[in-house]
Amino acid sequence: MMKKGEFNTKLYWWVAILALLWMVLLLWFTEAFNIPLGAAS
Amino acid sequence: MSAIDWTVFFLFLAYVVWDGARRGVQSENLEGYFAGGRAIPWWAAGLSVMATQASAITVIGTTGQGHETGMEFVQTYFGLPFAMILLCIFMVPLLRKNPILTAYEYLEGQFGPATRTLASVIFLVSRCLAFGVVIYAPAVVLSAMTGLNLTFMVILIGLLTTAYTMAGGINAVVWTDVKQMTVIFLGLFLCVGILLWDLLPRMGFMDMLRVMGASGKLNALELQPASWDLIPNWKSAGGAPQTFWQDTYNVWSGFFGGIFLMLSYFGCDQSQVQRILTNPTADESRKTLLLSAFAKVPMQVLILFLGALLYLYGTVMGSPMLYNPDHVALAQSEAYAQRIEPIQQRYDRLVEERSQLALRLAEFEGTPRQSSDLLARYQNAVRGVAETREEARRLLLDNASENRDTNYVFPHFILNNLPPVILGLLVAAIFAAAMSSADSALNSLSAATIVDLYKRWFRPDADDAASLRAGRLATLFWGIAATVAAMQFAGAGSVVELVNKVGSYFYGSLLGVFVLSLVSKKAGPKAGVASLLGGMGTVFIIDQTVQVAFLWYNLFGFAGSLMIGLIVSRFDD
Repeated sequence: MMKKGEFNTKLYWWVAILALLWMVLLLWFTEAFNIPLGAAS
Repeated sequence: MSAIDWTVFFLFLAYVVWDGARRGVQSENLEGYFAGGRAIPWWAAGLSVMATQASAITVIGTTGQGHETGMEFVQTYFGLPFAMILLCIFMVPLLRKNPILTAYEYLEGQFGPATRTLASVIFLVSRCLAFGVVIYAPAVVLSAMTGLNLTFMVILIGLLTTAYTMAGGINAVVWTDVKQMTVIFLGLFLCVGILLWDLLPRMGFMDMLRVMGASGKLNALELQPASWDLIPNWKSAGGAPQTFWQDTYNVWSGFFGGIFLMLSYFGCDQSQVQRILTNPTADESRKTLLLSAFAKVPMQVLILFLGALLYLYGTVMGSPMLYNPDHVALAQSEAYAQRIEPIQQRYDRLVEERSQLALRLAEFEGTPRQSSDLLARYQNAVRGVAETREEARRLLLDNASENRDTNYVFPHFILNNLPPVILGLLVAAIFAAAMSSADSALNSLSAATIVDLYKRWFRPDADDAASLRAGRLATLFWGIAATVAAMQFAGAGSVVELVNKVGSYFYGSLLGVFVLSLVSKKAGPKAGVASLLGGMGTVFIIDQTVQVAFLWYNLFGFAGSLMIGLIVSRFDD
């Protein structure tokens, strides 16, 4: 049992997973919406 | 700015100075003055870490960057969460094992006094130069926004920050940072809200994303670097095609280059390390770091998205050709008025065309790619507007490519579009961002001076009262020095770039010597000094010989420092 206020090393996993999710989200965002200038001409 | 805005602005400044100065009573010795009596909760220290990193130039320069080149800058922060995890696992136990007051104090245990002193002096030199820029760069913009004299603005930022930091020490820094960070967040959210409020009657949110994307501004993640060529170009090969090492903004340089920058900045720069020394326990220090790990990427996304929204706002509502008030005044002067007129007329036509095409693109059923003719015409107008702006700047300025007006885009929006009270709050937020970075620099410079030099070499027997007095005097000294340096920068824009470059010479070496202490118990005094000097030498050689983006300097400096340290450790007794 963890005491109140004790550090939980699972936080590292959460940080890493969230960071990777941000990267995936931004990749999707870029692919879905961004059109580099000159791509259409 | 109206009287009510000035009132909001000065009330905020007065509150911050009062709040910081009253913390002085909590500092009875150096432990209180530089480490907050090890009693600062993780969330306050964590917000202070973020406020220290978010300088005024982050707020105004990054929004400007979002406006000019899109969201690509966010990739620089992709390494940050992973760097924080590594620091929590490896660095926090080192730094919190003994009750130290500076990061460099730890180095003495393994490498002896020479390495500690050298690391501290390296920090003092690089941070002092950067500190001048932290005051000068926002002062230029704030002076243009408020109409107050530049020198007065430099003195105002320098004086107020020095006053409360000198009185209250790290307690003042952390607790004013908490308020400053709150105001910065509030200001950023208000601006996004106001922009959406103005734009939503004209187009839906998804249409906004399509138009911003068609303008090339939603380039948040680039998997393909400019080149996969790993052989760097020599410095002399001017027109050669870019190599992998020259492309700053892609996911690879952001992740791998960024991770070393963040490890050095948060793990070895006293202005950040000092935060994690203020918590009651090592676990609280870990939480301090992890707050940034969770919040920094979304915060940068918000700031850059705000910049892209500013671009859309200018596209729909019209945007000026020149943002910097000095450039506008120059264009209106007798010498240039006639020559700028045809460029201005062409610019107005292009802006009108861009606006109409953007609205048509928003109304188009389907994605912009499905309307290739309309998209091509819109992108031509976008390019035309950018090229005409560049042409106007080239006409007015000798060094137009260096003297961009990126930093004036966000202030221009604030001054011309925000209602009273909120305008005052936003100017206060920019001022807060300047002070929250300057106060941390000031307190950490003072800590390194007193703990690593004064108490270590000159007055080891100084009692609490004398040490505290010296700490306050050191804060005053660095405050005056940085303010004077900032005043000298006026009119010398290239100095700012030089200072940023000088900083990246040192960071990798500092990280290298800390990691050396982790990997080699044999490394002693010779290895410590050789590692620091070797890392800087490596960066110097690379800078002089090949073309490499700044972000990679930290990695090369680190690698050079660690390798030379390991080799020389064989000669340590």
